Amino acid sequence: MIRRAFLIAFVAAACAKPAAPHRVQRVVTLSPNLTEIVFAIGAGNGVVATDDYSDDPPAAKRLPKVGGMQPSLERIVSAKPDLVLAPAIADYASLSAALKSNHIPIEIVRTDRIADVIPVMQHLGKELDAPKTDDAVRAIRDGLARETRKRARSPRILFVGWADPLYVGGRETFIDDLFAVTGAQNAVQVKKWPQYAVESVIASPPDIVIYTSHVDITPLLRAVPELRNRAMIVAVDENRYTRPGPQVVDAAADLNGIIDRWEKLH
Amino acid sequence: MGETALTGGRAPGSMLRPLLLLTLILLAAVALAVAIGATSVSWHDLVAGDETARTIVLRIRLPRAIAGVLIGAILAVAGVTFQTLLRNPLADPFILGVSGGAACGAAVASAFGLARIPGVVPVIAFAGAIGATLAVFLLARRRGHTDATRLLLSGLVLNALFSALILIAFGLAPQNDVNASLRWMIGTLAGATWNDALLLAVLFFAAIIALVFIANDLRLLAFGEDDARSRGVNVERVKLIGFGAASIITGAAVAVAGIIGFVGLLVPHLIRLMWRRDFRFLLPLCAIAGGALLVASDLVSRVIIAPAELPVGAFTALLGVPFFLSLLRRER
Repeated sequence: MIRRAFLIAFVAAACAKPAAPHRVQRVVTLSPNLTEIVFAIGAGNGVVATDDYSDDPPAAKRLPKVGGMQPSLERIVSAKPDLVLAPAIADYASLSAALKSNHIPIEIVRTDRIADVIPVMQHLGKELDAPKTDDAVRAIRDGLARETRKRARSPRILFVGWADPLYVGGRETFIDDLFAVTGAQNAVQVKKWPQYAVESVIASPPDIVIYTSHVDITPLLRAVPELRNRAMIVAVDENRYTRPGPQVVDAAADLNGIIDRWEKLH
Repeated sequence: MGETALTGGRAPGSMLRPLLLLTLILLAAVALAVAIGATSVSWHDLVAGDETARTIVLRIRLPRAIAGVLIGAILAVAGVTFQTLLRNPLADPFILGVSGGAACGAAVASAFGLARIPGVVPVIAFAGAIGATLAVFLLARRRGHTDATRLLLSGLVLNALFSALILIAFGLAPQNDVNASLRWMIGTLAGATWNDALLLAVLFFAAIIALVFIANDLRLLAFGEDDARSRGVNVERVKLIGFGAASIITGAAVAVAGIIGFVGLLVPHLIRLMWRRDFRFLLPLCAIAGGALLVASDLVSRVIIAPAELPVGAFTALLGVPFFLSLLRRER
């Protein structure tokens, strides 16, 4: 009896012994910025599938897609990943549970702000044993240092996420961080991405209005026609301005270009 | 419940007091909506002709308040009309699928990229509302007359179909086109213009004239269709005019502001619980109370965390439901 108990205990202990940490070889990424980060640190070869929106770099665009807002569990499982990287912006509770029951580890990665990008790169660099992590981190650190501006006159910028009803980029967002780097001010005082009072735009008009090229800006201009005269209105590439990842340096450079143009006009 | 909840034979005698009271509340709500906002505008600046103050009050707050009054009035009038026509206290533009049709039109049009062409989606939302009414009506019609239970059931089934189509449209559409149709799902008075207010006013007053014209027939209809027929009411004609007018104005309201819940159900019952159940009495009072409720809700929704705004539909329920529940308790 005692011998049997020992035997059972021994077998159980053997089974419970944690598996030797093995290198992650097959990764599925569920947001464009995570895809871009993994490719930037030189671990792109390990990515076997991505979400529908990951279109950069070109090698990522060609990979199998597992879906958009609600990725297909079936497709993720059939890609046989040993790690799934998901963004913290969406709710992946049920997906996490389903993946775990299929013994597929999922990691929710928070990359909402500019300050998140480098730590996430370093963390994933270790986890994926990525060869170019240091280079990628240095490129961002140097790039952001290069694009950091202090301006004599800091323009107030309104970032329009949607025009009807008006949704804007507020404080504590990636876009707000970009303003801080480039020496601009956010025209919006509220946090996150609120629906915003049009009369606030009229009462204190911004110097620059930035909107993504997908947004139809006309409802805002119809409501506040004087913006046409008072503000510089610029359409920008949505992907560049909304993906906290290696593109952040390009975004800052692009924004600096816009602000420099505004400075010349004034 | 059913018929007794909707009838009440006395002629509209002492309508004056509730009418005065509600009008005062409406005027106060509009005055506050014009005076208060995310920014502070002084009357001194406004009178002195300050450009910013004038723009904010005359081009942003006032048209939004007027559109709010009209949309609130429309939803309440449509609600009371549907309830009277169907002799069912649960009938409202949402349950009958009218708003769902409008939202579905907007969502599907947006999914096909039509939202990028200005002015197209509201027209399709309007067409969706009218189309839904026609469909509900045709589905409910049997052997030359329209059965109230079948009508409600058809509305229910069509609503399920509309939700399905909206979900599919969302699934197929690119993210930005989904955003465009969300406007009609959430419901907001933001961005209402003088043109919107004018369009709503024209349709609303036309509908009111049509409803006043059949008001007495509608009152008689509350006692039952056979009863009304025996008193010389052309029931099918009354239904056509009633449903037609209520759907057209609902379609216009949804085209401007999207789906705003609770007003069509809440306001008529509020008036019934507080005063009377005669349609001739309900019609003006619902219009005024509906307008006041929506303007007040919109005011709260846009100042409570200003300059950020919240969906107005949440506040029509938050402001209306406690009042409604207290009345219901008192009634027992």
